[in-house]
Amino acid sequence: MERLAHRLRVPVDEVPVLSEYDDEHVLAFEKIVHRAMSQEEAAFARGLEDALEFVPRLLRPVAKKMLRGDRG
Amino acid sequence: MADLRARIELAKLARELGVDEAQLGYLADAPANGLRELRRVTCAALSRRHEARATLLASANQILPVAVAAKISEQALGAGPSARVASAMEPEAAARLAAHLAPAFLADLAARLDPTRVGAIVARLPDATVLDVAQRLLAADDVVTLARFVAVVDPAIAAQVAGRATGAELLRIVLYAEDAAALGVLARRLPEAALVGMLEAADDEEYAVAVELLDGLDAAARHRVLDQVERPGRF
Repeated sequence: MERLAHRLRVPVDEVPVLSEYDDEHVLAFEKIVHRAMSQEEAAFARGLEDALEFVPRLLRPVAKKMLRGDRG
Repeated sequence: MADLRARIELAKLARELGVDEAQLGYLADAPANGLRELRRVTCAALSRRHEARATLLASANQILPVAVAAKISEQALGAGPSARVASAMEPEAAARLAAHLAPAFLADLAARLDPTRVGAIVARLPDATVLDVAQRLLAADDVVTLARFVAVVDPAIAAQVAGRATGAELLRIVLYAEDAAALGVLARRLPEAALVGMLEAADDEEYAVAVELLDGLDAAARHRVLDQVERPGRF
């Protein structure tokens, strides 16, 4: 339950519903949340890389800096 | 078996997490309000997780020509990340961007947007665009997305869309919608025949929930609608 609460960023005693379920189900739900987050993370990472291809050449260094947090 | 409201909540939670409802089968007996709260907490966590990146992309959109930003949304980011970015944009800028997006992509985007965060954007879109997107969602049988936007779009538009739905589609829109006040407004704008069709499409359990929609009508209209409803086995 701690892991799920950490993932959802809520105190352990404020995770709705699942406090009444056994560890196996809490873990199953945590895995589903983790997978949803990872899939979206991957979609963002892919999208950011691909996005730079569409940025006009002149603006690319500025855009790279903004999107990747490059220092120069 | 869980009641209808709990089953609907479970379906919404599964949709937010991108899984089949069966994968959340162990939650089938959970109460509807608990599942609603679990969905709220989960959606907030998913949104927070990508907030920084979405905000960065929203800022980048401001320095790019809008046509380029639209291409990036459609061809690089895709609907999921673009929905997060739209929520982080200024409504004016997001509406300008939307004008450059293909209606089919806007429909995909709508399915991923959190309606509570994009009301100001939707309000700035031309009625024709909103209707076009809604029509596409209806054609794709995505009544869940339509239901989520009932409280966000202009009531006249919501009524036009609902008026084009079959009784069964309207029933599902009503069951999945979350804002009772917005449904009341919708009910007053719908032709009585649409309300009759919706109630006739309901099974007994759905009927008990859907009939609450008529609370938005005055007593005479409510009676007129109920008098027209033909339900086998009912008085």
